[in-house]
Amino acid sequence: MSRRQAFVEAAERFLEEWPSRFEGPKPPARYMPTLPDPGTHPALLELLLGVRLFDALPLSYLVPDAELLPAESVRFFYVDPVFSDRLVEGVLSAARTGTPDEVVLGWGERLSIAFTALTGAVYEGPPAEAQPIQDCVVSWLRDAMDREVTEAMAPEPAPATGDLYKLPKRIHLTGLLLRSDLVRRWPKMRVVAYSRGEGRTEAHRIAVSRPHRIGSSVMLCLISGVPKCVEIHEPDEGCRFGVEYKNPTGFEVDAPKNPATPTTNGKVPTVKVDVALRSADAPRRVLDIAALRGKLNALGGGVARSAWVSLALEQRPYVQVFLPDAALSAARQATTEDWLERRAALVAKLAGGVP
Amino acid sequence: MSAPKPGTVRLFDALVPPLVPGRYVLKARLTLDTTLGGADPLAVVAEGPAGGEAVGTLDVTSPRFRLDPSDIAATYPRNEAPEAADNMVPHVMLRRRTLPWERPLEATRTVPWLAVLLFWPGEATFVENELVSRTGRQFPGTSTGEAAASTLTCSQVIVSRRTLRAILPRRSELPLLCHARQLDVHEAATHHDDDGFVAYVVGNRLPQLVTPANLASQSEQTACLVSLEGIYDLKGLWPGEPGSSEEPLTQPNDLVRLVVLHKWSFKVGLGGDFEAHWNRLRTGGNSRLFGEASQPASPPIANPLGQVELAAPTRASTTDAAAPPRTAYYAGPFVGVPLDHDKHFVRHAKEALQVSPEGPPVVSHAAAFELGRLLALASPAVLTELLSYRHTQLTSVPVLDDPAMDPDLLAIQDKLRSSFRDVLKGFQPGGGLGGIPGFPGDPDPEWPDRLGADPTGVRHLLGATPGLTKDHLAVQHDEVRTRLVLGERWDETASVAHAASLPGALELDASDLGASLDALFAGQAALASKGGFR
Repeated sequence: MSRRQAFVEAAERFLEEWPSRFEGPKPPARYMPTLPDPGTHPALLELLLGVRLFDALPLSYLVPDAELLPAESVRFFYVDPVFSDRLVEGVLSAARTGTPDEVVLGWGERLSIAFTALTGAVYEGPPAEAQPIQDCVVSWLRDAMDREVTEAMAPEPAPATGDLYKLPKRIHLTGLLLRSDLVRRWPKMRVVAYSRGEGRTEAHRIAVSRPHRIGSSVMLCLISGVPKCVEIHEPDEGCRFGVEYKNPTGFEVDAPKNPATPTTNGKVPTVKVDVALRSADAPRRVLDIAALRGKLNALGGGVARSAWVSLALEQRPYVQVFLPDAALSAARQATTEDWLERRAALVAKLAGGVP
Repeated sequence: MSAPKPGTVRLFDALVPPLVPGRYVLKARLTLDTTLGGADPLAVVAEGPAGGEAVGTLDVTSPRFRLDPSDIAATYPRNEAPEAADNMVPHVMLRRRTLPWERPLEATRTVPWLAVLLFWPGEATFVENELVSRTGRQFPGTSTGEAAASTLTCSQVIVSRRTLRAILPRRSELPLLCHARQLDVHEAATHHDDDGFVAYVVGNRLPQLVTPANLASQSEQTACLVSLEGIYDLKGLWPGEPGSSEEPLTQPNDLVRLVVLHKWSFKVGLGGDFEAHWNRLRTGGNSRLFGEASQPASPPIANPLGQVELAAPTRASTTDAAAPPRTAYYAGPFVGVPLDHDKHFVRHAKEALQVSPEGPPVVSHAAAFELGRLLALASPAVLTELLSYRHTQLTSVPVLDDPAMDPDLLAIQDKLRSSFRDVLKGFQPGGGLGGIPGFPGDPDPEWPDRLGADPTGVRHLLGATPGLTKDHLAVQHDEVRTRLVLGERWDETASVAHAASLPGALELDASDLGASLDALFAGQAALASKGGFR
């Protein structure tokens, strides 16, 4: 082992150990690194946020093969945090100034971390949570950017309390990509994510980035953490009356909920009622309103008059709900574990880095 | 009546006003009942016509042939909507809550005199400012506020009796297509409605479907709010009621003119509404994890690591035609399995390249690094700010042994400094910074001079620039310093120590590691005292 290697290893050992040796007070705030200031570094901050939220990236880097996101599809994903970190490091590398930087940012930067540790200049947080290697500007910036990202992802309206604000230091992002005509026609659709599936409330909402449109038909939305439920809300366009497609030629509506109807799990069940076209005028797509009234009457609860019929025809903003499928989740879990094992094997193989 | 709670709405089947439009005569007569006041009744002098009766007139008016634009709170679809849903019927929302029931068509008065009709392209002709008399129907002036119908003009729709019969609601359906609502305060405010009461007139016909072939060339469809006055009683026009025989259609090709109070046009989009789109997308198996194929039986697009195989560009210098095509694995930031954070950094793309002896290289993270770098390089503003930001971070580092340093920080330093010294003692039996690569006397052949021997470039400057003066060097120091990031002072200090021949520079006693370490920090202090490092 060369002396250089021995020194680096000794320094690294120190870096691994020093938080456990150190139980002193937190260094003064004025020695902390600072984020790029929106007032003096607006373009840099925007770019860092842009790469952290993937807004600034070309689509081909996000989806390298069109088959990964076919037309009329939605794909849920985990964000590879290392990819995200490399983007930030790439941005920061742009201001390197040649040989001195090359040296210093090689093993010299590791020594610099030791120096930083000695000065306590950028130490942050209690020792138990400290990651020694993070205590330098780049790593600190990663965390700071995550906080910025979280703020940028705060939903509206933000609940006063709840899971939204229970964020880990390093956020694990997930998200969805939607490629559909939906993106073009309903660009203001909202994505809401919850940390609980059944029984979710506003308190279970978690942070979601503002949906980002890529081109005319692709939408990207990031979620902080792994959601148990994702809802996609149709933008509210006011009151609408109409019918739902039951099949290519048939229609149906939800019957208004009758308070006298026996409840299931405390909820009044939704009853679907077929809506026919007036037979003689079917090609002209004229609804048979009288027949609809007859079917609503048959459900009980009194004679359906205009207010009742209007409730049946009223189409409220649709909410597409994604909940985990238990069987599918189990199968995916097994697959995921297999993937992770194979990944670990590959990572171990690659541990030597660049040959 | 109190306003509904926020988020709720109160519905009414009909809001029938107590009076229909017309001229009313009010007669008032005062009668005193002298028996209620006891034996001493009040003396009252009645004023008015002889006989104690007052007579006045009262005109109750209502729109009939035109609506003021402010009467319309909203329409659906909105006028000139480019892609309305094909499973929604048009409707109009009226600010005047009683308007649909203000003109009686039947004695019960619950039958509205307004209806929303939807005409597909080519089914009707619309004309403006036509004489009301051209409708061919009688509209008796029932109030003094209205001139004779023969001189009034209005908008009209001209449609064949056959078409009209096909699209008109049944008479019994008319009341089902009008209702009133009391909105909550917030919703009422969005429609600029002062009292929160509105009336809805809903159509009974769905828009004409379009196909991908005629989507771009489709004509507009027109919805209109029409008056049923004068045609409600027409024989042989209305569709038959359920369970009863339909009257035969008379003169099917004759044209009928209807009074139009408001009309709006729109085009239709493909595939129904938001819900219909999602239903198709979901049932088509297209809601899946990233990397999976649309069909469950199909193999995934990406490999277990979320990567796809890409063809790598062929080197221009390659002359071997038989050489196998080069490929690389790439995964974007989105993958189908959860991955962990990495605590390490990379300083250049090559360091992020993953090379396996068994397969093509994995270029994902190297590509990410280069992409970030290129995005920054593409913007002069970002570059300028990045340099400024690095400088800010550098100058935020406290100078050791600064008298102004916080006592707490000094305590931290002492503890960490001793810890670090212990670590270094463990590895360097010879002691002294001379054994550390990049420091004076470093004989390590693995550490090329190009990098390790001249961390800040100062020695290079000394060697290549004879006659460099102290002042020049100080300038160079400042320039180098301002370009370096936070932790580079170690190397910088070492470099200064290395340039021991420089007048005024620090000379290290390398005989003891602990002393050297202290000297290292002392060196910073010494330089700081010269104004070079602060």
